[in-house]
Amino acid sequence: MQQDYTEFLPLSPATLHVLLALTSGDLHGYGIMLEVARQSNSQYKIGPGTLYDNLKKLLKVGLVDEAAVDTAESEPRRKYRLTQLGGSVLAAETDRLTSVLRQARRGLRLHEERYP
Amino acid sequence: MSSSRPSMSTFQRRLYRMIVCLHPATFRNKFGREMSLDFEDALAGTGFVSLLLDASLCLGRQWAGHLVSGGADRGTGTRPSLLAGQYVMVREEALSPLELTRGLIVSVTLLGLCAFGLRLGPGTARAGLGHVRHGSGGGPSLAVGNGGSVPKTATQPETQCYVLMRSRDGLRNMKAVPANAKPEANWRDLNHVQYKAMPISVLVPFLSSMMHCPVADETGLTGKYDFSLAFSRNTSPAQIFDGTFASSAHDSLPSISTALETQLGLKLQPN
Repeated sequence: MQQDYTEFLPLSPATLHVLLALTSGDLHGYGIMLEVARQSNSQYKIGPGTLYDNLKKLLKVGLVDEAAVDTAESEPRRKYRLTQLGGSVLAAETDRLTSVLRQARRGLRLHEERYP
Repeated sequence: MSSSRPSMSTFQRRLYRMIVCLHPATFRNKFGREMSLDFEDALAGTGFVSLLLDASLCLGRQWAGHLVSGGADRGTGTRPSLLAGQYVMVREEALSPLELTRGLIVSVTLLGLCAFGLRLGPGTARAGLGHVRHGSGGGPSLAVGNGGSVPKTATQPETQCYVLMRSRDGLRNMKAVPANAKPEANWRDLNHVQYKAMPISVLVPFLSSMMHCPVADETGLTGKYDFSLAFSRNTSPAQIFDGTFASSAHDSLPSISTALETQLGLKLQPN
């Protein structure tokens, strides 16, 4: 039976970007901030406050989990990883956004035809 | 202008840490240290005012959520919680009107400080609600790979608050190794580290990060050493504000400064 992820949707932009950043691997906080900026071509940036506010919620609902601390680093930091549930929710959100995009393109095409 | 930069940078760090300290205890204990570290890394690329506004908004959201949920995530029993710059015993039922009033006064003061910061840093405030917008000078350095290992921002020149020196009793448990040995740091957990073939110069940035203030190396030790450190990361608000550390009553491990002295024979002296 397929799980219903609609209770998590729609995701806020910050949540979407945080989950998206974690698809590239386990990252610590600043790594997530940089990855969000990279994936959005620096059009969207989040600060530590917004990041940990979202991470707190995501950890609570189980979309993100804490990864093992990398003890080889001189200053060990907590790393975060996308859980299986998080990946599924991100996929559901991507499907939803794809549908929105399709509708938007269709609407714009009709609009252009009506008002050339 | 350049002479005012060091004190401004220290002021910015202290102000940010103060805001972090004002978050609810559960949030602060879990994410406070990481927030401060990320602030240090992001300061150069994002701008102080943006980060300050971001933290202030987070502070509001956390307290709003905390009060609305009735402190459901507060855990059991009473615990010391920072409110209005002081530790108070937060009860399970709710905050008292006096505590809420104190919080209100601090919030208004912080807003005033934010306005002061906006006046000091024109053009840097580009934060939108809930997230930080573009910096003025293009994108940040994107050095993160799949592993997420990010180099720290270069240390800004600033006033040095502490001096690392040898204690009178001499060095302890530090074994000198050949200069060509490969340096290695093995963290057993966040409180225990074993360094192999590590020059003291590598320890200094870590100590600066722990003390939230630059540390100058005056040990005169130029070689490489094998040594271990076991220390507590717990801090009290007073220690955060004045930059000193000590272990909590619930923690058997010593503070970093005590650990340096008793375990290595090094001394961290306020400058």
